[in-house]
Amino acid sequence: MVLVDRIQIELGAQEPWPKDVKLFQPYEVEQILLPDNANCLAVQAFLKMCNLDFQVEPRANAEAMSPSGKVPFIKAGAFVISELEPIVQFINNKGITLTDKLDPEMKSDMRAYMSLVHNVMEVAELYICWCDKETYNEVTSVRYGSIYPWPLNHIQNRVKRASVIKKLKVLGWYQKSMSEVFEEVENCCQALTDRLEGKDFFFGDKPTELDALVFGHLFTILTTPLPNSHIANTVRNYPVLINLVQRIEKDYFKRETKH
Amino acid sequence: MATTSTLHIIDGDYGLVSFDVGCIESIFYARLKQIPLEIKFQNNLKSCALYNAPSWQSGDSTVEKFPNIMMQWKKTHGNLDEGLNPKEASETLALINLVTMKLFPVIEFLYWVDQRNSEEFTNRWFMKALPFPFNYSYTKRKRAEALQLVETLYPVDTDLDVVKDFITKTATQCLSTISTRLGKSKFFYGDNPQILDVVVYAHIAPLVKLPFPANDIPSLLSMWPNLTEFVKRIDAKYFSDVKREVKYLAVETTLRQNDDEVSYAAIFILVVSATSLVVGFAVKRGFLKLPSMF
Repeated sequence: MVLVDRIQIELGAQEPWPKDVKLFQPYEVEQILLPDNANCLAVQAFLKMCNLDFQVEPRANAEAMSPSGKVPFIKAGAFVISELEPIVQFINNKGITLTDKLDPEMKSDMRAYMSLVHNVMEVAELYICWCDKETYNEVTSVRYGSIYPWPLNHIQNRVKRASVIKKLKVLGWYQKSMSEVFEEVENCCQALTDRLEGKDFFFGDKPTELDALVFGHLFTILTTPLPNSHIANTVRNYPVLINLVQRIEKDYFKRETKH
Repeated sequence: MATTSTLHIIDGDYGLVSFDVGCIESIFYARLKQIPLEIKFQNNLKSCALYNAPSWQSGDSTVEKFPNIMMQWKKTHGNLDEGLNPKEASETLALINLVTMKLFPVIEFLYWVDQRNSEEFTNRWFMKALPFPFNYSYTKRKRAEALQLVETLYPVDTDLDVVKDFITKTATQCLSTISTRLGKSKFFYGDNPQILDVVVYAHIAPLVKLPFPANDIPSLLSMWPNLTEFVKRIDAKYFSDVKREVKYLAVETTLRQNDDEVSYAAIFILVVSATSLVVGFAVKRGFLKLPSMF
């Protein structure tokens, strides 16, 4: 984002929440992939927790439309903002926040945990989608290529896969084996369980953006059918987290799924 | 077994025990756990050819990179943060993740991607500190790695100024987070450093100590005096033997002074010539009448 855009966003902050806010994301049934779905769901959960109206607008090329190249993004009036943290920031500027009761120390904890979820869960999902051969052949390549005509689908798959692998290499995850990845996921789940300490939500009795993010990732992992279901089984070992996911689903999405 | 183990690291300077974040972590951890080892600086061909700093060699086995070395030491010498309860351990994991993911790219950017820093400082330092063929390969490799890291983190922005803007923002956010977390206490948990302190120290100390030519990001640290205090406290307690004087780029500082003198002289000459030009012009055109000398 260029500086001018940022100033505009700060200036536009005083305006109330517009009525025709749209959340753009890929098609949920036939196209979206595990990590993208998790992030889209996290943003949806956050908006619902804030009690803000929005419409989900599925687009095949949502990824290319997004200003940062990542889904989801929202269009609120004249502003187009992508990814969870900037959206949270934008909504906070309007005076709507879920974290006003937290002290600075808790806020810094929240930031740390959000970075943990982003850097472990999201990267693990990317690894499973693009580096596990079975998952890639049966799920990822079919879904990601579904919107392109032949031969473009193969080319696009290749380009995307190369960029994901480059990212994983830089983060030091590409060298890991499948079992090491599951171990990381397990550590992350354990850390989240320990932080939750049997409470309803991570910080007190009200949800925050961290709860939304955790919900997005865990719900997607639990409900997405993959050839290799080890990651979902890993998460199922943590009943505290499953309870959290079910509670948020019931309270904010008005539906129930058995995990 | 313990007596024969060696730790290969990159040398340090400016009161910093090593220039490499992983090396600082390894040395600090070893000192905290009092692991007996011989520290070898990578200033000869053999060490550079055989080991990638930081690497720990014990008998026939070699372990590279701090997380792996730490796992090994956990097995042989016990865990550093045994005293933590599950919640604290979970916070530690989250905060370590935050620091390594947010602050490490900042350091890499400052070291290698920022053109002024890498040309005037980092690159020159490594060229002097490492032996001949390896200084070229090491700096080249590190720069390529850092560029890749920045590219993957900010794939849409190709303009380095925009990227720098983002990096400054993440640095500010991350530093304020750890500063609030640290608060007024001595260390993050209790009176003794834990693994979190090791990681935070290793990522902040280079920002505090190294004299970067373009130091707008390191100077951000002055907003959080408790972090600077934190580094000083650890230095006094654990790194009191590290020398503060400049080892490798000493020549450069004297050159700098000469530079300053030259520039004063240049200013003087410029002023004199400009004034004489103006006066000469005025006299010639008759704006200024000099008494009957001519």
